[in-house]
Amino acid sequence: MQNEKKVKALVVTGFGINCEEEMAAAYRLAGAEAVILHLNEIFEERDSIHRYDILNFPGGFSFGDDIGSARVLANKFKFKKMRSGKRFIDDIREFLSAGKYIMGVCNGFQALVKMGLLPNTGGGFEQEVTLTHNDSGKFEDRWVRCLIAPENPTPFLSDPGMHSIDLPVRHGEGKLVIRDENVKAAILEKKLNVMTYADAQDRPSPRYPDNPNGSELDCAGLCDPSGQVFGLMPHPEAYLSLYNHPGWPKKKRECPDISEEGEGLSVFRNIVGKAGSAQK
Amino acid sequence: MNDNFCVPDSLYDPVRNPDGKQKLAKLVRMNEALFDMATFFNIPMTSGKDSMKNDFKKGDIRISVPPTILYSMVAKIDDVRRTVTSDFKKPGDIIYMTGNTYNELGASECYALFGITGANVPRVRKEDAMRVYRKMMAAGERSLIESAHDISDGGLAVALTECAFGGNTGCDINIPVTEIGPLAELFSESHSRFVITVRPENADTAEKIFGNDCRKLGEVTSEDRIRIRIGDETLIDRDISLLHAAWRDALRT
Repeated sequence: MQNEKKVKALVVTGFGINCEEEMAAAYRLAGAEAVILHLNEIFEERDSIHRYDILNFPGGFSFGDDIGSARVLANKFKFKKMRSGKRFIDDIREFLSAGKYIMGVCNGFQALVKMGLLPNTGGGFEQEVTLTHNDSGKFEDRWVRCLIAPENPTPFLSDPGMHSIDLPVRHGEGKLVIRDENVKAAILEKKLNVMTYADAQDRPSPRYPDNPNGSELDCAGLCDPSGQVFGLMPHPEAYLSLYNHPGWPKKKRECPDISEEGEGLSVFRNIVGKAGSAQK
Repeated sequence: MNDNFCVPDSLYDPVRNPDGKQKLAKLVRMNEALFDMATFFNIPMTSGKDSMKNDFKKGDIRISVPPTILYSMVAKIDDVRRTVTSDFKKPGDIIYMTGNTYNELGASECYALFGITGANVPRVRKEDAMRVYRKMMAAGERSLIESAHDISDGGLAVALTECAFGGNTGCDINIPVTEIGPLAELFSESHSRFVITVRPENADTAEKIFGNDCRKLGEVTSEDRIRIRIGDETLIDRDISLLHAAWRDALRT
């Protein structure tokens, strides 16, 4: 239908980001229009983030993880002046003021944290936490169980039927370290610790291997106080089909009518639904 | 199909490499085997990588790697739903072995535990292998196979245990006494065999397809236990979780 406006998701790429195709596929499956754009296109102002409803920072190894995962990318986002002289971070501030949404996965989450968009308890885009080397001392590349906080403030996880979800992680620096007790208290008070690593009984778990990195608060994902910004270390865009899950044959055997949709897709359905209803 | 050789320096030298001719002969035999199998199964090797000088030398000491071939195969399956994983799926499923076990404990993991090599190393009976593979395909096309795992290092007992790891299940196995003896039944590394499971309601159909190329071994249980009986004697009765810890942590200590 011509008058039905599709939600538009922008997926950025470049500088070593490498999960943009999956991220775009996730949005398309969730009913949105997805555009993959090199960041330079935005910095050169050949396109603008304001033409889109959801801005996405996918995973990857931006700038080869030099200095620290996503450190260089985060600094670029913070200090880069676009062609007109306007700073990119101010563009992001305006984007959020317009009530739009930002998501970062893995390297994208690390960027959001290091540029101060998450958890942003102080509201000033100041870095309050970091994501650093896993306690295991190695790259963790496997599936983990995640718990979704009930009554969480982000529309990305608004599906009331969503309690827990299996997702793959693939990172060397996913351990959340919180700057001080004040920030920790604010995260808890504002319910920003929206996704935690869990054990087989669906209890938040600080123990390896349930918790793949030793994150404080068992944190796998954070949102900001508005709920508009959401970031997580696991990859929901890598679980779009039931058949992405290593245990699918058993799941299907136990439940022959199981949906062929991957549980990770629900995150994208949630936000596309929310952005769509906001347009009307 | 892709092959990787990793072999020691095979250039004969009376002083520096006195067994060079034998090493070269091993490489030739390896290549002959590759030729035989590739032409018989009609699967071309699309690429390869040779590493031909795998020797450590210091002073008078020379250590050569055992001649090794790493052989990788990738095949396309049109529908992901038709793929089969190795873990047991559900208690009550019937466990079969497809293919045949011979008294081929030579160079097995079992013998290695006792520090011996033995003589009767496994050999590939390629016509038999092809027949079993075709039957596996036929059963797979009719979605009769719930799990399938190749029997390789460690033999049947190890393969059964690995299937149980994947599924948080156990198994009860009953094998009759045979002329090759229990050690060979459980640990022989004869080629071209699989452990498969089939739903009870599909057992007849599967048995018809495989005929003499399958043997019923027992069934999947919900216990954390692997029990293997041969004749009247229980030979293995262990907690799966214990075996899993040993298997998983082998490289950790």
